[in-house]
Amino acid sequence: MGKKGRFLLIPLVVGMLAACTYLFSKSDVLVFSHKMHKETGAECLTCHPDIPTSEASTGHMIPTKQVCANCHDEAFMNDCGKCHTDPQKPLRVDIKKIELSFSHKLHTEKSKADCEACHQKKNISNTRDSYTLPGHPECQTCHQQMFGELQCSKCHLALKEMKLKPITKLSHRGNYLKEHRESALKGVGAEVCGQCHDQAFCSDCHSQREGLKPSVKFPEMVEREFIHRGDYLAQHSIDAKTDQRLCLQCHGLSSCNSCHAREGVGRGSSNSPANPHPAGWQNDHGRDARRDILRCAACHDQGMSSNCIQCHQIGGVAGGLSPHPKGWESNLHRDKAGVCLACHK
Amino acid sequence: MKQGLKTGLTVFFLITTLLTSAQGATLTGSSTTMPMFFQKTIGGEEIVQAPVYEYLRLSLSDIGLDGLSLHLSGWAKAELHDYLPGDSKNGDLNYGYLDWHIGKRALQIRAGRQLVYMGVASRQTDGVMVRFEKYNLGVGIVSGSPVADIGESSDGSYLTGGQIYYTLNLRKDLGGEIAISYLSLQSQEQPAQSLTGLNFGVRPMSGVDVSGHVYYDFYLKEIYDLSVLPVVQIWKPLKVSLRYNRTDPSALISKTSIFSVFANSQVQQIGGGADYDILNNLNFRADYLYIDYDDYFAREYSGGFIFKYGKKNRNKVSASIHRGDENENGYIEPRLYLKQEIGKKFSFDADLIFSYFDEKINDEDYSLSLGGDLSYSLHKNIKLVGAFDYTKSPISQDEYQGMLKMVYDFSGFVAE
Repeated sequence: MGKKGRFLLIPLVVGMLAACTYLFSKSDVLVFSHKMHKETGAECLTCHPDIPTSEASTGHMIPTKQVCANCHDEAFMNDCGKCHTDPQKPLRVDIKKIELSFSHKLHTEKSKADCEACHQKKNISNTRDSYTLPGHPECQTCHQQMFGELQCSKCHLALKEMKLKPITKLSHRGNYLKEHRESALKGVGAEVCGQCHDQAFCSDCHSQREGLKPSVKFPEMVEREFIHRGDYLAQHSIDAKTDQRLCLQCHGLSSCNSCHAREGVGRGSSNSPANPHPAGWQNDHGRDARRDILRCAACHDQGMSSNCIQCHQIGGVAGGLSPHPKGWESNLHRDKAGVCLACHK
Repeated sequence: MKQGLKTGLTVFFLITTLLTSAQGATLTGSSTTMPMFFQKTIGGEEIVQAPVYEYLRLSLSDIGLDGLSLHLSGWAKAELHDYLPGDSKNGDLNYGYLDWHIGKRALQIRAGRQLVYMGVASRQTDGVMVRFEKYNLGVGIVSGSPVADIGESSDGSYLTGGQIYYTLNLRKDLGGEIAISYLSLQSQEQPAQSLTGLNFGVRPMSGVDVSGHVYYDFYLKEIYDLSVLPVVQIWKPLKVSLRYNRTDPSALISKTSIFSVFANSQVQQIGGGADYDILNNLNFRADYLYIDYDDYFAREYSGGFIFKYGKKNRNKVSASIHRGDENENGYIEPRLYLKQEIGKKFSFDADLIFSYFDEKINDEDYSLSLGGDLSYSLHKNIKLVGAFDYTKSPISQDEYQGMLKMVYDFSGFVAE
């Protein structure tokens, strides 16, 4: 083995030894039976006296040594081995801290101190048992409506720690339809959306290859406030001039082209009623192309076969008129960019 | 490789995986079958169309490996009364991917057709996405072929992109996220796009959210898209938002498009909105957008009331008005809609839209749409919807549309 190999072997052996030590070391177990304590006549609140007055979820409800000493004598209290299997390394009972808006006081009153309504008993052996911390299923037995209405923040104050965003951040009220893009494109944005919505929900609207527009596909879901409802066909030419970028976010340029070709709009001579360009428009087309090239590209972008090349290429009818705007310079390497070669052969 | 062949291979791969792994798996999803009927008159010619659409969505979990699941969504169409000239798609795969979460969801691997949301690298992609997240820091990488690039065929296109993000947790609900993304797109073996972006969303103080993005194009050597959206909860019932966006439209066209050599304009948008809960079940909202082009401007305004009522406020009535105008034409569009549950199994809704144009289109200055539908829950897994729409517009004199929709939800099905 080379020198380099030995250097790699040392941390490997040390790591394995550390792992074995950790895995095979005897850890402390708390020997405690709720059942045995109950048989002596003790109630839950005998050992957990703070429960009926606690209005915070973060309070430590595990009985202190002092509470145990109320019943157990001094000799018992000084013999740690009575409860700990490894008194040298006593186990510390840590309850996962979750920031909740929760009142034990209120729940004790409502349940008439029936703690088992929320805490399920878990028998481990004859001398050991415990009560589980309530989870969502236990909460749901009474709070079904809150779950149904996603009122998470009524209980969870810090949803971020649970990889869930607070409901205030997820509120879809107001102008959310127009704002949701910013939320979805952030780092974990789409993952957060995915906590409730699967990809089908996004693709309902965002896929450029959907068979039907969402408003037709979901006529019964008016609450989604679909765009393009009703007679959108007559209106779309105005909206496309108003904010075409919004159209492109879902449709892409190709969908304008395919629909116009399919419906016969833009076909035939300039005198055709289907041609969207007014008479004499050709003289002004340069101005309009500068203003909003996306509109031209929507119908005319056929790559190197685009009809603008026929006139604008060197030697073409309009070859002397450069189509480039003032100050324009190519950022592409000419030898790689076929787009330059279309005119500059 | 042709797009159709790629789609076919992806579907074949996914169906093979589905069949081989289905035993004992949990299936969720839905099937939606929609026979439809359209009748309209354009330029005196009557057009009848009767397509049947099928939308299928499947998710399969518990398929052997812990954290592994399969997701599939697609549609198909059959024309019962052929009228459409030229080509029209008869089906597609929206997404179909294997998703694998490893180590308490710290590592995610997704392979197949998918919607990727990573700043500038957000595309529908046939490829592989890997995301790793630990200690509020995450890294995502995507590589593959874009399904449909804007303005051009995606044949021969290949993208590589990714995102690094950090989640900042301050006290209570304060904090935010910041992400840096990158995209490199090759088309026909030529560099087509090279972009980087910064996306952010922060809550610096209670009730104030600021989100936005800055995207930079390495070929144009400029910031081609800048957006800021502050939203302020002034007090509990009132939320106000502002919006600023500046875009270079030429950046939306790939560098391999001939049109990339023409454009130099910038589009700026400035707007805002307000959302006010007048009562617990009565809401008012309004927004405004001003869009500034090189030598003209356009505007959009909208406002409306929503009143909710009935059990759990599931019923509602809404009245709204929208106006859009640009330098050549504009319209004003009042709209009224109603959603009403009838008993436990039925629900009904109606939608009335009227548009009045500033300048006549095809000698007509208005359009009218009246739609409605009736939903019936036949079974806890089966829902039926009947819908009908009438439209009178400058494009189609009288248009009728009818549809029957059957939704079957097979959530929770376990394959034997």
